[in-house]
Amino acid sequence: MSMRRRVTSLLLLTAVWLTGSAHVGSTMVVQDGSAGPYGLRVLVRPPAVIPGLVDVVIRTTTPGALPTAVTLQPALWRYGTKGAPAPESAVAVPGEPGTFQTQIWIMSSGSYALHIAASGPAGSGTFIVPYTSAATATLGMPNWLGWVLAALGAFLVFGLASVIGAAAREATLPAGVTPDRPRHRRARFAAAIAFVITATLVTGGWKWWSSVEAGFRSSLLRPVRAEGVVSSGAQRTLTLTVTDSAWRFAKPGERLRGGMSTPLMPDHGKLMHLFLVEAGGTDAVAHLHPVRTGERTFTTPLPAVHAGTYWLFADVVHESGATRTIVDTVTVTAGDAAPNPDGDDAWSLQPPTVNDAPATLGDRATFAIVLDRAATVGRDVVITARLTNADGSPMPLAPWLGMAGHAMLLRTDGRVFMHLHPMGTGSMAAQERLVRREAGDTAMHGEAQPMAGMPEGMHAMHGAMAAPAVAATGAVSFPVAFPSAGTYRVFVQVRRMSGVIETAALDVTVPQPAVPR
Amino acid sequence: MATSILSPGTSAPSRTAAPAREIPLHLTAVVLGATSILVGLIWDISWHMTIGRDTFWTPAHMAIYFGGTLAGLSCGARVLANSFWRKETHATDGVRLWKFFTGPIGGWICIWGALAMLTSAPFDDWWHNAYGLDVQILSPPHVVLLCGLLGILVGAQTMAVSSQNAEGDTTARATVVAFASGVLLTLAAIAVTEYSDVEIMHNSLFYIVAGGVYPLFLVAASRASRLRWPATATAAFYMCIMAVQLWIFPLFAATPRLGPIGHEVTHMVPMNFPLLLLVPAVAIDLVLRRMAHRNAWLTAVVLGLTFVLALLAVQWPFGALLATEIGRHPFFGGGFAPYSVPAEFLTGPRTFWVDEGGAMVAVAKAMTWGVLAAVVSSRIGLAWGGWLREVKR
Repeated sequence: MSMRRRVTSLLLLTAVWLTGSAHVGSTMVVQDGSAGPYGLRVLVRPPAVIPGLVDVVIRTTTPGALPTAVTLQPALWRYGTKGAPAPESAVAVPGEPGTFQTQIWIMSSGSYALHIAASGPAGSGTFIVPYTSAATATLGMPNWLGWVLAALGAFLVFGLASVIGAAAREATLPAGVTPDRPRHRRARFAAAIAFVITATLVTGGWKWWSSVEAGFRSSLLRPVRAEGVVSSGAQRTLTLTVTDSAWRFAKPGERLRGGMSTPLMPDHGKLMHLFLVEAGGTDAVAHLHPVRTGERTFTTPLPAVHAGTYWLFADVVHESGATRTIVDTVTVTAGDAAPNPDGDDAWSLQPPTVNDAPATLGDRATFAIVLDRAATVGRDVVITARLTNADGSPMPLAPWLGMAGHAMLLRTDGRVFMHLHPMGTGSMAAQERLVRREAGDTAMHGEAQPMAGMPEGMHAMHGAMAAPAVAATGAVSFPVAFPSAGTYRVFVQVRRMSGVIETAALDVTVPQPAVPR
Repeated sequence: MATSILSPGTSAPSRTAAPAREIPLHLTAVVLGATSILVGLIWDISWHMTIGRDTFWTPAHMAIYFGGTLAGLSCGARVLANSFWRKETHATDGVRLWKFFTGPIGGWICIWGALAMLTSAPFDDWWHNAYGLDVQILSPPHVVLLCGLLGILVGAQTMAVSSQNAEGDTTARATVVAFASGVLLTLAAIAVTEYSDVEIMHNSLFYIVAGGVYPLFLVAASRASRLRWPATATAAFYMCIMAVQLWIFPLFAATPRLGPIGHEVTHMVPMNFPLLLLVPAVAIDLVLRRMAHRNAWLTAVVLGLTFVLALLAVQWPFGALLATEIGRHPFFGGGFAPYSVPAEFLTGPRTFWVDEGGAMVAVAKAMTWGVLAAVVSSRIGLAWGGWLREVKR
């Protein structure tokens, strides 16, 4: 079985999907960027267990400039490229010009910078993709393998007892001498003792295995546990208190052990991006930005979402580049709605669906969402949202939080959630931080990142990249990969030049992949 | 259990006329298999200290599996031949198992070892898929594999002893016994390699672990081989194997392919310089020669005490030498370390991890707990060696 098939079958055999890291239910990464003159789309397909082999596909998105060689080097946050193995060469995929593929060993759970270097006739360049590695699933043992191992194990135990018994009976006899009765008795006694000792050792081994399994389960990365409470009354406020024991940050002067203990830092100028989706995923949705009011607490006034039960997903980014999602289910009570104190909050009580035809907005403009190919598990697709004025012309869009648009991808059972941007599934703040870390900035800045103090300046850079294209086409695209089969709802949010944020939804069914042969 | 202690050379079968083949073919195959396993194991450890990334098809793994297959198949073939095709001539010279099968006891142990290796393969493959690439050496499937390797090495030693005992104790056969014992001793040394670092050579733990492990193999070898200096020869084989790997591996260029990398590695990283077991082994041979007919427990007490005293006398000062810059010379290998070790650990003198209370406490504990462990180990070694000395099938 090839490594690729093994990775795929691992995903299929997975008994329990517990969680992802950057998002819920997936550690897959799809990231667009450029390495010098080459536009690249990087798809990172992680294994279910760490240490394990990560499958990486790199596609060139600039048909006019194709690299001839691509290398990949995984650098753990604490060590950088100085402590990374030599770059791996990616292999050109036959029949797909500009596409390269390789597999790399990821040995630790934590924040990695995947350093991608591309070179060719047009020159050379590098590109960093953040990847938060974590074991995400347990693997059950197939019945046939369990029976085979049990049979072999039993044979070994009985075999050893038999050999020891036979040795006690006649190994020291000269050739031709038949063992007498006492020797037979001694042989039975020796075999019995050997059997008891071996069986005891096997029992001890079984207990050892059980403790390894328990330890592995406890090391699986899971969503951060928290409790969200909505205060009732005139002004509803959502207070999110993290209750997870894993929510721990290194103190000043303390050695940073892992990426998850580094301070939080803002992403797109916000320390937390919180999403409320009415349970079931078919009704109200809100994208809010709580402020931190304590080491474990975040609060935000609630906008005009109606009462009901909501799934809560809150994304935070550590300074190491590691991203985590806090998950809870909250009950929203009726009460007064806040205006938009943050200015960047957005919500929709009943986002229009665009499954069959574009949605028609209030001013007869239309909102369409399409995929560039049929969605399949583990394959990158591009979700494109297009806004058109009533006269058929593209609608200019305004940058929002430094991006041309935001999207959320939710499996309707709530077990998979991803927050997407036009550059992919990753965090821009993580990417920039990893670039500075490689340049030698290993000091912790926390919420006062060198660029976070001027978010508009940072965001203007992305806005400047995205806005002209958006203005010209009225379209915004999100590269992504669906991590598992199921029914998904994709929400897309964009901002009009007037400041109004429009939300629409597309339902996508991802079929079960064929079992690899 | 009383054990008769025989003086070297006594009660051995009389030297017979030189047989057609002094070292039987199946014994050659099994000892070669055991050697291949040991070489593969050391190679694999070096591979993981240097390169990190591996596949099923690395040469180190191939050497291990070749050794297991060679030993298992040659013993299996001999059992089948003796049981069915040559049963008239071999009906009563082997050990009978499950009524129909007969073969040398060493062969049976080898076959069991090969089956254990075979069992560990699908178990280990599943384990890697379930819990990721091993970070620790010891995992349940690896223990099954190690039991299999141990089975083949013990089987090789037993088969060599049986050849020596049954067909005449020529120097060649007795040397093969000492060599097989040396291979087994090396495996034991590898198993406790984490307790053999220079940094703990002034700590009682080093002497307690060494006392618990090495006398067992040296004493058994001393009883089993009919050479004049059997334990000494066994220890010499161990030291040669470990010294040769230390001097050969660094000649080959290699770089890490896994991270994080703590320091620059450009050549294969070997295992440590061997322990100076030659000196305690000489002492064991001398004690056993003088106490051939004494009570086994009394002999074990003298052996245990002698082993720890001899080891302290040579390894303590030798450890002090290894801890200096001289110890980092390629001859002693102190400058080599796995790729994950940070660079700052590879400069300057090494710091000993001494017992709380200092060197006197370390020596006192070595002379109590270490000697106790060595006495028990020696006693088991005497029993095992006594049985080996009698094995004729």
